[in-house]
Amino acid sequence: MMRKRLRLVFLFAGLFMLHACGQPYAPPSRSPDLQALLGHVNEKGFARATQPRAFHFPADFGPHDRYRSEWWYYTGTLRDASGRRFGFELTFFRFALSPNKPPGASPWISNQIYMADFALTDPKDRRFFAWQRFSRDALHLAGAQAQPFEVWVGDWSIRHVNERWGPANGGEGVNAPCAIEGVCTAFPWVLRAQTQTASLRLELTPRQGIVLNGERGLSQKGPAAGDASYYYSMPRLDAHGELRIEGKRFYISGEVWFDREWSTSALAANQVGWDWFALRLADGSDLMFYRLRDRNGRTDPHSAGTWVSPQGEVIHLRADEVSLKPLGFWTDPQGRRYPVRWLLRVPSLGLALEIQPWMRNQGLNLAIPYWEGAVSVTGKRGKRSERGTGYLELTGYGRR
Amino acid sequence: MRLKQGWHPSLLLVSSWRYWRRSPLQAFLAMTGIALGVAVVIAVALANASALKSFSASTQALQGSANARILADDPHGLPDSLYVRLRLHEGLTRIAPIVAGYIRIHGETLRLIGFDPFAQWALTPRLLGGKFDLSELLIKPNTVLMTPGTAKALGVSHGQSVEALVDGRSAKLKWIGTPGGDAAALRGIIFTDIATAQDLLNKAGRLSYIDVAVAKGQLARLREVLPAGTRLVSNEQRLADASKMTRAFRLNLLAMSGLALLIGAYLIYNTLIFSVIRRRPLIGLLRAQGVTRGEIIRGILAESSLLALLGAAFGVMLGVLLGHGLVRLVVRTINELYFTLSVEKVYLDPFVFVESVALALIMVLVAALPAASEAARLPPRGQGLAMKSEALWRRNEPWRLVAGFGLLGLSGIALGWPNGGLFPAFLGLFLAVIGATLWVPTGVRFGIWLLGRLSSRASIVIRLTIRNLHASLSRTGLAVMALSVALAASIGVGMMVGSFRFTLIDWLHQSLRGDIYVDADSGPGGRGLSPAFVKAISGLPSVYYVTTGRHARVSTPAGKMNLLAVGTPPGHRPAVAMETCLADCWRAFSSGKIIWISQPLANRLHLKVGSRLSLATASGPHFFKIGGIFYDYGGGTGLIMMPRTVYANYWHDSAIGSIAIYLRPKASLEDMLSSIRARASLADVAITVKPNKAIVTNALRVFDNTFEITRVLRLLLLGVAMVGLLSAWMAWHLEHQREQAILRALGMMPRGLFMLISAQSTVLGTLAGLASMPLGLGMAWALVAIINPRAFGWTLSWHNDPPLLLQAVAAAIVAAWLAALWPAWRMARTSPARALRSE
Repeated sequence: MMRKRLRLVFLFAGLFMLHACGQPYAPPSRSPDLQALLGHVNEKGFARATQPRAFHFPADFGPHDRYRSEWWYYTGTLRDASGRRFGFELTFFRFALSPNKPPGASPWISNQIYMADFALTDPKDRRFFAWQRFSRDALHLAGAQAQPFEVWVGDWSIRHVNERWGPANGGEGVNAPCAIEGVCTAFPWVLRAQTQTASLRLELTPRQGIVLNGERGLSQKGPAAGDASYYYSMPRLDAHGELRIEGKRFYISGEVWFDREWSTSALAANQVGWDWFALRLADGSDLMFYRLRDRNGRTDPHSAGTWVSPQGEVIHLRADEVSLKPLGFWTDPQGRRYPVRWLLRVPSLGLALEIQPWMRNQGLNLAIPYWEGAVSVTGKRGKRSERGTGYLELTGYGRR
Repeated sequence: MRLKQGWHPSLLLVSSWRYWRRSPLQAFLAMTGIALGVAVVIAVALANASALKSFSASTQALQGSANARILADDPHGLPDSLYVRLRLHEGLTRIAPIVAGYIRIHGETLRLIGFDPFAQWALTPRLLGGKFDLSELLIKPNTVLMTPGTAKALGVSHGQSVEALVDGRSAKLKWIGTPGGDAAALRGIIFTDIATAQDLLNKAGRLSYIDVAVAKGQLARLREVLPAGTRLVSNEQRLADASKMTRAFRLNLLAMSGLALLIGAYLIYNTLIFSVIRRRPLIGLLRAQGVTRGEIIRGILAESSLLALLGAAFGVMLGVLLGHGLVRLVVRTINELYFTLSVEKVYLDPFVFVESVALALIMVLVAALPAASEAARLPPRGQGLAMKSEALWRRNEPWRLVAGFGLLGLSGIALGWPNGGLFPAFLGLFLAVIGATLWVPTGVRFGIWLLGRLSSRASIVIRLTIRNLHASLSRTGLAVMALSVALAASIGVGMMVGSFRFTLIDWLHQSLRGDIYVDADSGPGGRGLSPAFVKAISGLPSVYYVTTGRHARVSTPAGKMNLLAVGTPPGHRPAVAMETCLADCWRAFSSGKIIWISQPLANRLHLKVGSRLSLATASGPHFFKIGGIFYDYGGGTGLIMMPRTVYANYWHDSAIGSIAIYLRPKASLEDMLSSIRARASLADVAITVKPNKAIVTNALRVFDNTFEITRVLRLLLLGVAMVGLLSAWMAWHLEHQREQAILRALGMMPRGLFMLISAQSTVLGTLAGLASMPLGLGMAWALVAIINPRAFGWTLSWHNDPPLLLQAVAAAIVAAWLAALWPAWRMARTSPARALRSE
């Protein structure tokens, strides 16, 4: 999604943009902004997303080093046997500093930098944790590969394990996992992330196939040709595994939303941030929508979304088909004011949903600060009442 | 009139204030003496502290929150895979790999540090908070960071490239930005990405060390997972090692600065005694009015404390200024002797100030005690006559002699204390100085008496000169004492340095027997000379034979040591000056059964021929038998020698770092030098070719640089002593205005009076110079025979230096004469009538 891409924008061009408007960049945390240090990378020489392409699997699970940036995005809502809820985010980003690898004999030489964010939400104990790691794609310190699938930064990883598994509903429809060649055989995946405080281990298997966003996977983000990314999602991966927080163990299961996107070009200079919704409803339908905001907080016309019906039918949503209204705010300790409660309507689908965070404090005060948290959904589709869970991401909110 | 009790202190205070206001020059000179003494102590202490501080500041700037370092015993360093394993499989996240080495730019040696910014970020966020484009550093070849100060010193501007010599090859480095953090601590360091550093230093796949931040309790666990041939050293340990390594050197400096303070204390003593004598009538009056002895003592001590405090305050400021100059000298010495430091900053340590001022105050109070007790002993006015100052001085003479004798005895005990360390040795030296100076006035009196006897038939002016001197001994005796201490220090240190230099030259000639030396500019662990080059040189017709060498740093349980691995063709031996050796020394050495160690190392670790020394080899610790001890004055912490084959076997490093070329008898040195240079490209590395003579010259230049600081301190001591003499003459002048006025009234011209004073100064200077000789020689003996072996572990052979003794006498005369110039001029100018009237 563009959020990532937007994040990317912030990573590279965003800095540049801030400088361009004469505002010195002041990192919010005491440590220097490593991302800011990465500076502005020239787009020249990189491949660009200009037209729809054919997706091949498992190759397209792996990296696309010719594009400047790329991400693997995992967010999930989990429960233990007693019904206690947990939310997590584990994301991997790849940034290319140049189209080609510089020459030299040192095994440390690389033009690919990886970053990973790991966050946990524990609403029962009102706890939220966030960590970040960086590394270069060298000496197996970080990297990604298609076959067998693996993406990792240090000892945080998602990788294919050689175990037999079968899809529960394996056969038909768009959202059948094995409908696309090479997808099912790439699974199952094991997700691992650990820090001093917490560790998470999940086994992931797909319940659906691949959902292509935008025009056959080409997601246009701005007016110019090539201001676009390749973007697909797997909104429902079944997950089960083990979570340890401060020495306590929980055996958990739930659903994970997986997003893949890669691109080269940056967002337009007037796009300052985005609000991204990834919601799974109890009736089996999924809704993804991203709202790009301009400087004045207005919705950019390139905002878009994707609706997947319980039967697997995919409907693409334009900006003007979705209305969003913030209902509640949370201000982080640094003074950033995030709209964390929303009313989302899609009249064409008869959808009216209220989105409520599990906890207000799910802000990640990392190198680039943003809010990303588990949410609950209540509302109606037509006359039927709807419930669901998902993740909300809010970026580009400055201090008031 | 009866005075109320409460009046006394204020009366005392007022009289004291009046006195010092009328004698501003005396007060000023006393304070100057203290100020100079304190300044020298502070400057040396600051310079010493700064050298260590800069070590810890640079550790802080480079290691941040890391508290330990993983080092390799293998000269090639650690494999990348160790770092990867620790990060990926041992779960260490606050850990950063470093590739470090040395590079040369415009002849300057600088440190090159290659880091991984992503790993480094967790340890030293400040370092990465500088101004630079990270992506440029990561992907543009040979891009580097350095502080603006370093860049300026190298003459590089932003975005510009500079030619550098790295691992013996030249490379163009582009300056793209500055690292963040303490710029002073980062001076002289070139930072680059770890990949660039590996490529520049020809160390692809190798790390110099890994910095880690782990909880104290986890250090032991981490140690367990490290492979053989690696070591985990805590930062505290490294700082303690650096401090230990340089302790002897720093203590030597501090002791010298202590002498300055001692001379300052003589000065205060002199001034106060004089002030008491001048105030005799006043003190007698005060005593008659009911002021007690205790109050008089307290009053004098308060005066001296005030003088000391004012002097010390001035000394602190002066010391800071002086410290800036000295820190360079101290650092230069530490760099030549121990390890590379880059200090550009004087760290102002409040403890140094407090300590020095407290020390000054204590010394001044001790020096003021005799004056205070003298004052308290004065009878109240009307109850008997006060003793004349000369009488007083003489009354105390037997006590001074006895005390001097006692102090010398104590000093002998301290110096000869079996297995004594450096501290008792310095204590002994100080006691000896104080003791001997107590004898100096008596010696001077004897000298003058002798002169008086010799000149009994000389002209009136000469006799007058000598009689006057005799009468003024209470004034000038102390000044002579101070001057002779300064000169003795100068002689002692000068003789020590001279003996050292002589020993060094002798040793250089014994151990540098090759005619030409060729070094690979790639340093220890670097690529070294290609075998083809060595073969080609050995095969040249004018070459008799060639020995090969490889320098390395190896770890022992007592810290890092230098190692020299030597290779000699059959039938030849390396040039080494052996102190002791096993019977079959050379054969045992060349067959790899024994190693040789340097004398300082043997002394420091109490090792003997036959002992064993554990060295950390690339495959773990191994015990080597010591079969010989050789002389070494190369500085540092010690040198180990072994055959190159043995070294290559245990450390997996068979490279040749240098060769020594022995020419056939009639071969031309010049031709040989040019034929080596013509084959330089064959070496595969940049080389330095030096004839024997150039190396000796260079070694002596380094030596002279190292000891420049002692030269500066000697001059400072002389300065303090001159102030003392000036003060003594001024006092004497004030006391004897009447006599001088009478002389003038009797027809002596101002010029004659000037000549009189000058002549007296010359006599005193000569006597001080003569007195300083035995004192200086004694000091030199203590430095050469006791303090140097204890401090550095080396034996110096005694070298007599008669010109130095003559110089000391000449310096004494000049100093005495210069110090008398102004008083003489003032005396000559005083109107006799007014002087007589004012009496």
